[in-house]
Amino acid sequence: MNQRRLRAILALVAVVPIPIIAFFALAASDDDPGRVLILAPSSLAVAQDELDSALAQLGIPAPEWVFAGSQAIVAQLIDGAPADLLLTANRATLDRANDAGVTGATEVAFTENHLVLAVAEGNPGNIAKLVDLANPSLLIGVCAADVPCGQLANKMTAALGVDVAADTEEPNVRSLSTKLVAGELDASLIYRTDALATGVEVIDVPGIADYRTTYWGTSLTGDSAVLDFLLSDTGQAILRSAGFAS
Amino acid sequence: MRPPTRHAPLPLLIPAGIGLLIVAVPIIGLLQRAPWSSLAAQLTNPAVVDAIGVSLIVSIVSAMLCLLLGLPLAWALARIELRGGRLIRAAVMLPMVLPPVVGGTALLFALGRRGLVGQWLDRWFGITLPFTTAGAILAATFVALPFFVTTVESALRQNGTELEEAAAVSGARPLVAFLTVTVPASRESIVAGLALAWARALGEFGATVTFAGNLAGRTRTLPLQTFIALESDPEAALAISVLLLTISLGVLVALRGRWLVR
Repeated sequence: MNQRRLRAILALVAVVPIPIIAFFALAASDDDPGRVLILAPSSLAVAQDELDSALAQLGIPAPEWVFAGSQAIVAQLIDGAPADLLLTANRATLDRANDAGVTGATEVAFTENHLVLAVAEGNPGNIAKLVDLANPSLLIGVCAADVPCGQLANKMTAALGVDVAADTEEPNVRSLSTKLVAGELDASLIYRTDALATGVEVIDVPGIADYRTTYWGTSLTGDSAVLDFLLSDTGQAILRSAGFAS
Repeated sequence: MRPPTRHAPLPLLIPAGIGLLIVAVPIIGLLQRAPWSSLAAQLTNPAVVDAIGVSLIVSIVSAMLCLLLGLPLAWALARIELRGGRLIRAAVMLPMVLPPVVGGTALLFALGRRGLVGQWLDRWFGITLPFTTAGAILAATFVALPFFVTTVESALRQNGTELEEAAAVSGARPLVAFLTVTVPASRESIVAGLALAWARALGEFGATVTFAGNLAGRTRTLPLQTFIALESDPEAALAISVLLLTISLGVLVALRGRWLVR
């Protein structure tokens, strides 16, 4: 066998199996049995570090968190995304998972949240009242109607008689607060928890805290350790210090 | 063109077949799940009609901007010898390989109202691009422009400079020569580049959602509507996907692989 041919064969032997082995190895290894995989609403991300370290003290390995709008994680779950625990930021998205038959046996409400009127640094839009959101010349952001924070915003503004002139409807509360913090929006309706975490200026709106959303959780595997922890005194204290209310 | 092949070796045919399947199976899956009986109803629902309108405006204006700016840019890249020319070409091509969401982030920090250029646009002219249809057009143009420029630039190089030189010898000024000689000689590539740029602009998602936001009737294009529908109304998402697939396929068939034959 001449040398060139030998080299070609060696190259083939080296190159051909690598992508095939890598592909199948990676397809099989996406479940880490030691860690709980949690599908969680974006708004809960502000408490992740605190929750992780408290869980670690209980000897529970840090969960793998997937954060997105509740409607997005529920859609992923219905489409077969692997998960051990589903947390949603309202009842309607949990019901959607229920209707598709992908939820666990028990459901628990574990915390609450409400919206605030948050403004960009220095309040460039001179926003003083909720009704300022109706001003079409200001840059206003809300969550899309399908996202729990958008559903709550629609309910609250309708009840308080304000017709929001929105300039963008974001798919989750984190992308909304990012655009506010970047100064690209004058004001937006974000959760109290996001306002606390980002330190944005909040305009006081009487009665806004009366409109609340309840967070629900359901274990998809029957293992309720993390859910029990969220309901425990320690879990509740962490959620409260992040601005959630129970 | 096609070399005769009597005997195709199996070790090549098998991976070739798998490669084809990776592309074909998802498309077959989409077509098989598509709500054919309610397709017309899905595509005429007001939210989708709004998105079609936004998409048409954004993609057509963006393709026209590609022509207006990309043609001179392609000409400059093909004809002007510059130190650092390679670097300039790489910069122009960058959006082809850059994740669109990174492009959108870059646009936001450059042209947002607190951005490098955007703050002056805002202060001097009162123009804020994010969350406007103009912003969506800009995002689409950012990703579509290189498709137009590469296509036309390679044609300009291939056509050479003889015609332009002949025009110059017979007394035509450079701009006149460009418009009356260079452009007509490259019209096939210009049309092909336009079609590609338009299709890319029509499919733009990441840069748009990052830079221009997401509002029905203003910045919510068909891909953004698909993304939203996927989480609430999968049937509608499938219907729009079929529409976009048909358009993309139509563009490729119309070009008959012309872009690929250099």
